[in-house]
Amino acid sequence: MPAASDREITASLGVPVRRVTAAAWFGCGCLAGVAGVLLSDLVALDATALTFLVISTLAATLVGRLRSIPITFAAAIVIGVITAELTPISSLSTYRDMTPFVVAAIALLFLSRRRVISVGRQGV
Amino acid sequence: MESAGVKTADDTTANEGTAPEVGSRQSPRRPRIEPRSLVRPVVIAALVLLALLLIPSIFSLYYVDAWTQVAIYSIVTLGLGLLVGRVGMVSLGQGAVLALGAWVAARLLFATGLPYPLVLLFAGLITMVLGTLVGLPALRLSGLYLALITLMLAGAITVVLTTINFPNGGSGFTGYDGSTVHIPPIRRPSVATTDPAFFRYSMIVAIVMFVLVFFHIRGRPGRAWAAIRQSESAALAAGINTTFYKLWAFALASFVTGVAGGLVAGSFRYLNSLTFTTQDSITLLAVVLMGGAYSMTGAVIAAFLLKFLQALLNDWGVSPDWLTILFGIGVLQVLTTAPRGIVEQFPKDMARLGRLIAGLFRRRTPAAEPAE
Repeated sequence: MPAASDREITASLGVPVRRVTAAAWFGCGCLAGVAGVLLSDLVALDATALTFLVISTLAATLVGRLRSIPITFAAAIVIGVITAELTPISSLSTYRDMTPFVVAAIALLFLSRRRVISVGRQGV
Repeated sequence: MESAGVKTADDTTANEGTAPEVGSRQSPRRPRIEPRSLVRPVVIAALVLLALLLIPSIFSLYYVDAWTQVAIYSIVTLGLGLLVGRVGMVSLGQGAVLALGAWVAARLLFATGLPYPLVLLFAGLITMVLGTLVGLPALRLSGLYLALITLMLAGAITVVLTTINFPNGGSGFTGYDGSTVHIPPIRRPSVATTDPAFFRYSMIVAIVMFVLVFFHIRGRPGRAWAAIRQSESAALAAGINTTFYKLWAFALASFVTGVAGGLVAGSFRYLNSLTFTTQDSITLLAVVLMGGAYSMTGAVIAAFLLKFLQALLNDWGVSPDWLTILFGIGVLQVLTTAPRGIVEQFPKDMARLGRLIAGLFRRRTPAAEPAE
């Protein structure tokens, strides 16, 4: 599936690109549905709050550079633990919603420190 | 007098052919302004003048406020259009920059007695510095990563602003006094305290910002940005300092958005964190893409879509959530069929419609048809 990032080359290798992408979307949808069911106890069922949640989860995928699932999983757990652990610290408690963003920003800037010139491409 | 017709200044290839026609006039050729090239600026200036003078008298106060929001947010969409269209950098954080500008302006308005234009200038400058600081590390990123990191930073700024709250007349750095019962409104410029006057004030500030960006686009930065958008490696090879010009774009976009934030502070008069949400940044990008990121008229159309439609739907009793659906579908449509936005697509579509209708009429004309 990582090869699906460059569709034409992959298609010329004989991989059924559309089927693979459809499978990816399907799996993603299933996992997101399961996550939603699990979250229903924890989060207010409000459209804006849930959208904000998705933006926070983007942070974990950014740390994984959209390439590695184990790293994304680890990052998500780290972010969740840090957010929860900040609750009892009264001075930082109100800022704990910032955790995903700060972690993602630091990780992104740290990980891309060697890339200087951006190559024009359709995706990443 | 001038029989060879009017020529533009850089049309030199035709000059050699017609030089004998002009005769013995050996005077140095002064660049002449072609009459046709003046029509567009004059029309735009006339429309703007009409809007400035007539809108407060035609529309009710509710719609005058809506037009004020259109004027203010056209500055914001101008900044974002500059980043997305001219330079090719997608920034999902302009809503947070706007909130930052509003915060700085509100703090200055409460703490000092500076005249309003100075407050706007300082708000713009401080926001420019902060925006450049944010843009500095993000320069290495492009495309998706840049969009996501600006979204992350916007989320962070939103959380911070929700925590420290907007100034409400208190003292200290944040200027927030949680215990006051009577919150003073943010003051407006002394010449424009009423809503119609504030509308004209906002329009004049918007015109100044548009002129500022216009001169940037026409000058060296605009050419550098066009080169960077085309291909960054080619621009580097041509000797353009891409880092500097990208930072300049960030700085300019942040400056105009900061000034717009100052106007928002004066327009709403009471600010809270609900005025600026993270979704606003995403909606801003959506309307900029729909209106047309590559032109300045597109910025005005984007602001109209964002703010006037909302006011219209509110007035008609329709839920403004329909707009979110409209913008979502609109972005999909724009990106797949009309990448240059409404401002380029609408005239083309109208022309096509005109040709279709003309074709129908031509087919109906019996003289043109062979006998059947």
